[in-house]
Amino acid sequence: MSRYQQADSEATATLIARLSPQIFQFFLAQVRDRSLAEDLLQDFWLRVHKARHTYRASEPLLPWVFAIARRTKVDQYRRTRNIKGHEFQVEELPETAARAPERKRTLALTELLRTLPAAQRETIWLLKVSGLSLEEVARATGSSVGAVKQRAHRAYEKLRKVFGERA
Amino acid sequence: MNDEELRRLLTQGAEIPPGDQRLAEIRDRLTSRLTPVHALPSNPVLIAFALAGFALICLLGTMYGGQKGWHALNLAQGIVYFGVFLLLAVLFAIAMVDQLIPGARRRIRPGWLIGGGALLLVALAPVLFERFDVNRFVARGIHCLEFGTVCAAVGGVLSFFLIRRGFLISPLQAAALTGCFAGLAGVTALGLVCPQLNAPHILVWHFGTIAIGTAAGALIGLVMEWRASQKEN
Repeated sequence: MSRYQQADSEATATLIARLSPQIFQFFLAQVRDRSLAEDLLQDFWLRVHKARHTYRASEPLLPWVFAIARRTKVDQYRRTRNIKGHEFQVEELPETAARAPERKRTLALTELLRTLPAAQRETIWLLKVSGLSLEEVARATGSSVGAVKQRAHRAYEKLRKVFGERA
Repeated sequence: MNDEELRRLLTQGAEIPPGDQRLAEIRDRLTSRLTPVHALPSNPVLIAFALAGFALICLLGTMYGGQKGWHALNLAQGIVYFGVFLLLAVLFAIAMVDQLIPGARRRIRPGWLIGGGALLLVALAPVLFERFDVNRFVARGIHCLEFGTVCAAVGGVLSFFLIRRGFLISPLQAAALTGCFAGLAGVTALGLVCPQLNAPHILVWHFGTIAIGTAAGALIGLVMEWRASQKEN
């Protein structure tokens, strides 16, 4: 990251290659649309580029990165909400919707996480999938360690309940 | 299902990589516009800048309006009154600087600080100033509010130069804190200038400057949030 701040193009390419998969998965878990997640990833990197002077070598990198990723996602959510608010239906929909294919009752990770509220889903993802510590998640989400613990605990309770119902 | 099984399931993670073409596009965009940047100074330096701006507002305020307020207070009142302002200024400067760095440790919660600071000041005025006079309340007070608001506006402009160097993860919080900090600078300048030691006057016309500063900051923050959510990179 320090070499990126010094405009080293090789270090920049390495940083993009190393961080992108993790950030992409974070977006994909939230938006569940590959194309949109890639757009968010691009938006995220442009923001990182603008904010690169705010990173200090003495501070951990992941909370800095995920705080920006989180902000990118929030702005995207608001943008989508605004667009949806201005959309209107131009065609009549058929009275009965086509029947959806039977979904397998799999306990895939993303499906399991989908049952959680957004804040809990994000906390569990950062803690368990991205591997951040409680302190790092607290920094990335701008909350206290206690609040992160509480969210994770509630998410675990809910996941356990969902898993119990499905199993 | 126990915690360990759940943890194992979660850490299995779906490993789907982003498209190579998109990654190449990102890499090309970023490397084509690379220029060296200097990292922001350390937090103590940024806090010192904020407090220097605060002191400058007080100095300019007293240069313009005199120091009648300071001379009207007895020693104990002066120490407590301006001591509280100084303490709040330091806390607000810390909270403001925390907002500049994404993923920084939040040492002070902005909402708690604004709420706690407001309660402290509201409780302080009747304790320190026993006079309760509402005679010609508006005519005597409106000039104080004007003076305090002008000082706060100058403080807000100075603080803006500090926060624009950061990357605001929460523009609303950052701008509300900055507005409150600027309002506090205005109230401190007003405290040094205005000799009226009247509790209702201090509560409404002096501390009103903080309310105006915070509200203006929050409004600017909301506009910044709205603009950020409209912008397509």
